[in-house]
Formats: sequence, structure tokens, C-alpha cells
Amino acid sequence: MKLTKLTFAISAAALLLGSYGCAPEAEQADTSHADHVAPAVEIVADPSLPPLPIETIGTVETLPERYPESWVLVDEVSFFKMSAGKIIVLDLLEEKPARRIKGMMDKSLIGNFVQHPTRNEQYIMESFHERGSRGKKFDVLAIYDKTGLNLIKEIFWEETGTDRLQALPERYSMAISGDGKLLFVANFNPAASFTVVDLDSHKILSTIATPGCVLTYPTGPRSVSSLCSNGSMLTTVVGSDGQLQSRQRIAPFFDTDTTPIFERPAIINGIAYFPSFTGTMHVVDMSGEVAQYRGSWPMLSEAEAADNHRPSGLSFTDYDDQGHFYTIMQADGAEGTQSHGGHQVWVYDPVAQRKVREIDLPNWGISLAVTRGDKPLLVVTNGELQLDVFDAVSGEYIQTISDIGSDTPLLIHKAL
Amino acid sequence: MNLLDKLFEKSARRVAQNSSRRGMIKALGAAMVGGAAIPLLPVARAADGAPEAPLRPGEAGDPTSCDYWRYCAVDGFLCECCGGSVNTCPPGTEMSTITWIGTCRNPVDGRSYVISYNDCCGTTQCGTCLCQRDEGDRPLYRADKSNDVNWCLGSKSSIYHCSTAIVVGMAFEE
Repeated sequence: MKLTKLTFAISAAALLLGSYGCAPEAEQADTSHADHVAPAVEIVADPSLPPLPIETIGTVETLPERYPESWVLVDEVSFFKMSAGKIIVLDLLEEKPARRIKGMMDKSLIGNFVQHPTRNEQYIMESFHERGSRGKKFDVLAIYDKTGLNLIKEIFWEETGTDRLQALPERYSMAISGDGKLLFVANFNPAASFTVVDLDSHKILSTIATPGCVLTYPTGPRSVSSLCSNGSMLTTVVGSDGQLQSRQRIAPFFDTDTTPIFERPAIINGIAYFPSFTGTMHVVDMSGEVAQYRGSWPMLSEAEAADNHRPSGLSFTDYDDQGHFYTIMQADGAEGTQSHGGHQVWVYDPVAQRKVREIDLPNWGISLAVTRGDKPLLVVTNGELQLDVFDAVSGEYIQTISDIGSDTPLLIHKAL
Repeated sequence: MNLLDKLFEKSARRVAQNSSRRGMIKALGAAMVGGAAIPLLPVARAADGAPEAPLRPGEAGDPTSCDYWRYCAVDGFLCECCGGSVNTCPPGTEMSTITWIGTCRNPVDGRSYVISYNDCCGTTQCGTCLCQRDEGDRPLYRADKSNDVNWCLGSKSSIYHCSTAIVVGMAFEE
């Protein structure tokens, strides 16, 4: 563009901004980012100053390959406009609201998300129709790099002959294999299966049926465990070629009608802890090639059980690097309140099978996550659909985060 | 204010919620616990033919209200507020042929009925009268009783619009 045209463009833009009250002199305080509003100071132009340096056009920010410990990835489900879901990379400790967001990735039609623990990759399984809500549906695995949030590759699901799981977001609707070489993606149409993707070639290797069993809990180096409709667990062992090697089942350990468990465990050092609706912790060892049931223990004292304390929420369990299990707890719970959340977070030493602390929440809590490292943070999606941040060890409240372009942040992932 | 209230607040038309939701749910939950029932078929209800349009005389309550008896296991936007009704889809949408079910007690006759929550699909989210009750709802491993799934998966368009609550039979008492 020639200089004259550029000047005209800038002038036109300035006119437009002025007409919409966005000119510098317009008095429109941004209350959401109030700490950025400087006090009014009269500026007297000084023509003797050197001109500003010429800046480069086209620069795009990048992120570190290992995100800092205080970062999380917020799954904005966008329940009211599902085609506009996204993942928001967020710094929980940044005090300046305008600096908290580090980047975003699109995630269409309640897509699913998982990070690779070591590769510079993260994965979003999403869906599109050709023309908005019309036309052929495409399920697509979108592979992004962590540093640029750039799309590396799209893998279309048509060749699988099935549909990816489309449900409220789960931590284990996708999983990275223990050896880091495979991605497992849950399907549901409503026949259940999972698809195996090779992460070196970025190609689909197989789609393996899991009749009556859903979700993809990573097990051992290359196996997948899934919860079944009869209260059992199926482990699918995948060979080095990505094909089905064998299926093994754990005998039913709960009744899906009368003693249901949540499908949202925290998996700590290969041990999966599944709380039941009424506060019994079921332990499944997923460290070996085939999952093994390790029994159960009560999360509640007799008095707590009598008060109907119950685990509750949407995505309400997580763990810290010290091996503690975190869950939102609800007092006075009942059938039907299992996904409504609660007013406390209880922290357990799951090896010692005992509660180690309670954290009172200033607001109703729906979902939570705990960051990695020696000084973990607890972040809770509250009833206002804002994010309350706490010191996970002391329980001290730090700050509430809102205005991050999110309406329904129903699942939060710690940065790996 | 809990999640549901917040989501309701975002709606242009807020349905009647005069009492504490948790209190309400607790009361209904207690009523349900005593009447555990075996549900009937979970799938392919809409394919059997169009549902009956009018509500039966033996019912009471406001179908635009989340505490209406049929909504005991619902999670979604109520079609009653979206141009459809408790058992019909709004114009321009398609009723899902597969779905989840609940077992709800009709307070008027004291009987438990199997309710099929067929989603209406193909138009973007209705966005009003969001209702989440979850009584008898189970996680994804019991897909037939799970309201977390987007049940528009079997329709021409997977775009979720709203949920109906259709009586499909009486529940067998255990």
C-alpha cells in the first residue's frame, strides 16, 4: 500500500473510532480492567522529541513449550452457543486482568481436549457441519502445537465409520498412552468404541469396539480401560501396531443403579480413584497392562455420612503433585444433586485413606482443578461461572477471575 | 447463586423458580427414592410415530417450569419455552430418534412413568428455560440414563436445540 493510501486508511480508521466513542479523548472507562485506567493527565506535545521507531507488522506472540505452573487451560463449553467453544490458556496468578489470557484455540460443538505431557502438541476433537447447523457433519481431530497454538494437522474421522463422543466435557474422553506414542479418542454413536491415532505419523491406526463400555482411561504403556454399563471395567490392550491385542474385564464392583460411581476419577501415579455418589472411594490400579481393582474405602465418617455429605459437581476431582486427591463436597446431598456442586473442597491422602483438610469455598463450587508443582493452586468454577483461585495447601483465597471471554467454563485442565 | 440460577439468569425468559432449587430437588429426590422403578426401552421412541400433542387430564403443573413433574431427569433447554411443547419439537427442528430416559412420579395419580427426553435438533441452541434435575441420571457408562450426551447424534444434524419430556409408559415398581 502506498503512503498516501495508508495515510487515508489511518485517517478513516480514526474517524470511525471517534464516531463510536473510542477516540483517546472519549470518556469511556473500562471497569473490567480498571487497573489499566490511568488518571487523567494533560499531555503537552513536545515536537523536539525523536519520532517513534518504526515497528514490525505481522508479529505473532508465542508461548513457552512448558507452560508455567500457574497456568491452566479452561474448557469453555459454550453451552449457549456450542459452535463457539474454545480452550483458553490462562495464568491464575496474573494480577492484571488484561494480562491473564495467554491465548485461545477453537473447539466446536462441545469438543474434547487433551494435552500431551511431553510433546509440543495438544489435541482437540471437535465437530462441524458443512454450513453452520446444516449439511454433512465432520468429526475432526485438530492437532495444535503448544508454543504457537498453531494447527499442525487435521485428521478427519470419516474413515473410522463412527462418531466421536459428544457429551459434556470429560478429562478422559481422550487419553495419551502411557508410552506417549498413541492418542486414544472415545467414540459414541451410541455404539461405543475408541480410535487409536499414531502420534509420530499423525495417522489413524484402528478403531476398536468397547461394547457397553465408555471413555478412555490410560492404562499401562498401551492399554485403555473403560467403564461398563454393568458396573465392570474393560481393559483393551493395544499392540505395538495399534491394533486390538486382547480384552480383559474386571468383575462388576458397583451397581450402576443403586451404588453408582462418578466416571470422573483422579489418576495419581497410575492409581485411579473413583468416588461413588455417596462417598465410597473405589481404587483401580491402572499402572500395569491390565487394570486391577484394589477395593474401596469410605470417604466419610459416620457423622459425615449421616449428614449426607457427598462428592458433587460437574468436573470436580483432581490431584496435586504431592499425591493428594481433591473433590468438591456437598452437605445434605440427595439423589439428583450429584452434579450440582457444593460449598467445600475436601482433600485426601488416598494412600493413607484419610481426609487431610477441608477448604471452605466463599462461593458455590461446580468444577475444580489443581495446578502442578510444589505450590499448587486450587481453581474452582463458582456458581457465578467465574474462577475462584486459592492456595491449595493453605486454602487461602487469592483472587476471582472473570471477564476472560468465557460463559460456561465447566472443565479446567492444569497445564502439564 | 448456583450454576443453574446463573445459567437461568442468562436466559431472556426466566422460568418460575420460587423456591430454593436444592431444597426442591431434595424434596423430589426423597419422593423418588421410595419408588425405585425399572425403566423401559431407552431408544427409538420418536421413530414409533408422532407423540400425542395435548397433556393428559391427569396431570398438574406448569410445563414451562423446571419443577414440572416430567422433568425429574432432564438437563437442557425446555422445548415448551422454544416454540414446541413438552412432547413436541419446535418448528423447523427434528426430533432425535435415540435418547435417554427417566422415571418420574406423577403427583396427580401417584404413579411412576417412564419419560423419554427426546432432543430436538438442527437449529442452534434455544438458549432459554435451561433446566437440570438429574434425578436418576447416571454417568455415561449408563448411556440410557445419561443426560450428559448430546442425543442429537442420531439425527440429520447434531446441533442440539431443546429437550422434550414424553410419557412412553408406566414404570414397573420393583
